[in-house]
Amino acid sequence: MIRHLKRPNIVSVIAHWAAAWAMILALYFGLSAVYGNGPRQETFAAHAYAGLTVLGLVVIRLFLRTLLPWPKEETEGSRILKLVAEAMHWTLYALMLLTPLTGWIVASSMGCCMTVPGLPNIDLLGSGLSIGRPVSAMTAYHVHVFFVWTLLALISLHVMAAFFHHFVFRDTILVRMIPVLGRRAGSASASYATANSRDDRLNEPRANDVTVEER
Amino acid sequence: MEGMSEMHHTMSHMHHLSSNGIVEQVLGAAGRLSAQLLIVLTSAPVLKVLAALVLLLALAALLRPLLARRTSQS
Repeated sequence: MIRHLKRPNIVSVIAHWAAAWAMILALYFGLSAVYGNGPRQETFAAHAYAGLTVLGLVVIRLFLRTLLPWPKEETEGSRILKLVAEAMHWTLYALMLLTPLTGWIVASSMGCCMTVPGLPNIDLLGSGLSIGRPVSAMTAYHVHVFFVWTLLALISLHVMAAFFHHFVFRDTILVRMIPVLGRRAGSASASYATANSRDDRLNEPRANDVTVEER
Repeated sequence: MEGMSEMHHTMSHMHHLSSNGIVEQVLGAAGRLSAQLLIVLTSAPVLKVLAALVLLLALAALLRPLLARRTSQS
């Protein structure tokens, strides 16, 4: 059965913006901890908490994305562009997961110098499982920094693509992620309206709808 | 063995003298980064967290049809 789904669920939308803010804070505190003149210990702890918040939020988003249907854009565009967009989204998810994770590995091995109160040692997680090898903090740090700059580059492209969709393609990609601008995308509560229901016909023109196919 | 060691030392010295080209530096950095990426992605903490995430997503995938059925009934 095909249902018309106009926007993602509200928890995913909130988690999207919360992760965006947490990443801005993590970047600010991270750069301050390395280059700033302020209290390094507190700044490093704030960076770690912001990064862990991103990790938690991306796990919630991935869980909800698997659990609930996700609106699929019906705009006509080249297939390659759609593939690039899809690849970019999944790379962003992967980097939002791996960047805090590598940071956590670094923080776990910095007991000598800078500690993060309340942060469990990552080496103790699942200590009964004998998979993988231990990794040095320096290697994890290099990879963490590489992931951060890659993530920033991809986020810049993501933001530009969102504006491009809004102002050039004039579709609902950006609006559906901003609930306060919701009129163009329909209300979140009405997002499950079935294909030929009266509510659906009363809503926006079909060109603005996005559909999702139930698996 | 003595001569071999001297030869190795000379070759190593020559390598350091000739390894200032930009291409070699870029290749060296890319190689180091690739190796570090591989080491980190196959490390115990990353594999354990990814295994936990896969289990969580498998649970979500199992719950998805149940939730869809419940939504269509109500």
